[in-house]
Amino acid sequence: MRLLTSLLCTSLIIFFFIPVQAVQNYSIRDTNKSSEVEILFEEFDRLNLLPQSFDIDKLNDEILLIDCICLISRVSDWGEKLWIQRTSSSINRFFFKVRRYFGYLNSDTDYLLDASEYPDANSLLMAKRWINEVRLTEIDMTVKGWQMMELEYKALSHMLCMARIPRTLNQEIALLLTEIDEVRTNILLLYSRNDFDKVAGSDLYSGDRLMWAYYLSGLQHELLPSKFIESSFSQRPSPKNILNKRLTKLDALLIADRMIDYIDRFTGDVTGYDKKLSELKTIVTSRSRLITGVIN
Amino acid sequence: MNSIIKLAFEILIALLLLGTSIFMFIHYRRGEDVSSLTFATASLALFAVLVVEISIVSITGALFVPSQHTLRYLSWYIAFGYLLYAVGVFWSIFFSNKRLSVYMIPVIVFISVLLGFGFINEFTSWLPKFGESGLYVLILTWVVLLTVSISYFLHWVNNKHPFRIYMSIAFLLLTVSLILHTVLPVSSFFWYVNHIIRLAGFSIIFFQIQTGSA
Repeated sequence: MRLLTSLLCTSLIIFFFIPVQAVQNYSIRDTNKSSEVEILFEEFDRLNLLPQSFDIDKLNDEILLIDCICLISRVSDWGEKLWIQRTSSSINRFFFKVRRYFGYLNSDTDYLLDASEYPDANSLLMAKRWINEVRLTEIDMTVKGWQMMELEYKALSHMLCMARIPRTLNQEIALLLTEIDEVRTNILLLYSRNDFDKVAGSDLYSGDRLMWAYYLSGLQHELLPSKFIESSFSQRPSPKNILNKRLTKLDALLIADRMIDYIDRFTGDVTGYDKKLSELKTIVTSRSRLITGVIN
Repeated sequence: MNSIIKLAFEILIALLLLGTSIFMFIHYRRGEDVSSLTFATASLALFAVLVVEISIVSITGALFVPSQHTLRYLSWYIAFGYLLYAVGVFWSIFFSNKRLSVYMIPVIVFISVLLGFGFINEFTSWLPKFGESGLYVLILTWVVLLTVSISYFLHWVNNKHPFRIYMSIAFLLLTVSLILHTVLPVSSFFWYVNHIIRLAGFSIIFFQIQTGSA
């Protein structure tokens, strides 16, 4: 009888408590899953874009330059793969793949030797192509918002250059800097130094011009995460708070998410260019035929 | 971009070395000079070294970073490869038309195979970083290559055959190129010039041997 009772108890534990516990655990995870951060993290994980040091529980830690470089390089590489994937012509696809292979070739043994010391060496190999000026001696420092934007702009400008788009983001920044300088000169000419605070655009004078340029360009190209824009505009339209603070890994993921969105839009435009051009040519030809027919 | 250019130069030089060794073997088959067999083997040894270098650089294109030991040993491997080539060529000239020249062949083959084993971590983990220590190997290579150049020049003084002076110039170019290689920074203008000098040196050797055995 005792044996029967103990058997019954054991079977109850096995068939009832363990499944209930499992279901409870599952439901807890399921509720967590709904959070936006986790979705974003999982999306990056699915696309294999996360640097090795990224962990869901440590997203509020400050990001190091190496992780930032790895993240941007991985996103850029993903962008190129997407570009290849979206190319309809098989010859162009082959050409893009060959270009990708030759782009990553690296005969600099000193750089490779330094890169091989890090666990994410492949991403550093990618970084040499996308960001170019990677100094491996400085990669253990923390990153400010505009510094990440600078790296991002380098990678995106390289990609735009590859697409033979004449005006790259870096050139745009250079242009913005000259415009900011012009505004500063105008303010200086029009107002005395004491009236600066009352003048619209006085922040342009007092703030870091490079940071301003990235902020304005980021707004224009939708490269700034909405969280950053809203927080700045609710208080005061100044990029000081967001681009001058040290980034957390989550902030970096949000910026990288905007970068993905930009690449998604931009690769769509470029690959569709040939098709759109041929469509346009067909329309022009048919219209000219129609006009010729009407005239005749 | 400089990686692609460097790889292209290495591939061209490797092909020239292969061509040189093939023509040297043809030269030997005609029974003209037994020492050409040593020259051919030395060229083939350097060809093997360049093939290894090309394949290691090539895999980076597929986003694969070679191991730290491989990268550290690669510089040593290339330097020893050039030294072996220089010694082989020197031996073939010094013992020209003599049976003694052939004794160097198994030595070259043995050392080439041994150098290949160096890529296994356990065998060469004791090797220091290439830097200054590797410079001694390069200096030795310069000396041997310069000796080869002077030997050809002295042969030319003795008998003014154009083949000898061209070979002397070629080996002098190789010496200059190897000296510049240690001094010039990567991707500077003269870095490209240096690669052209090296290519010119190997091209002259190839064309002289090709016309000599044709």
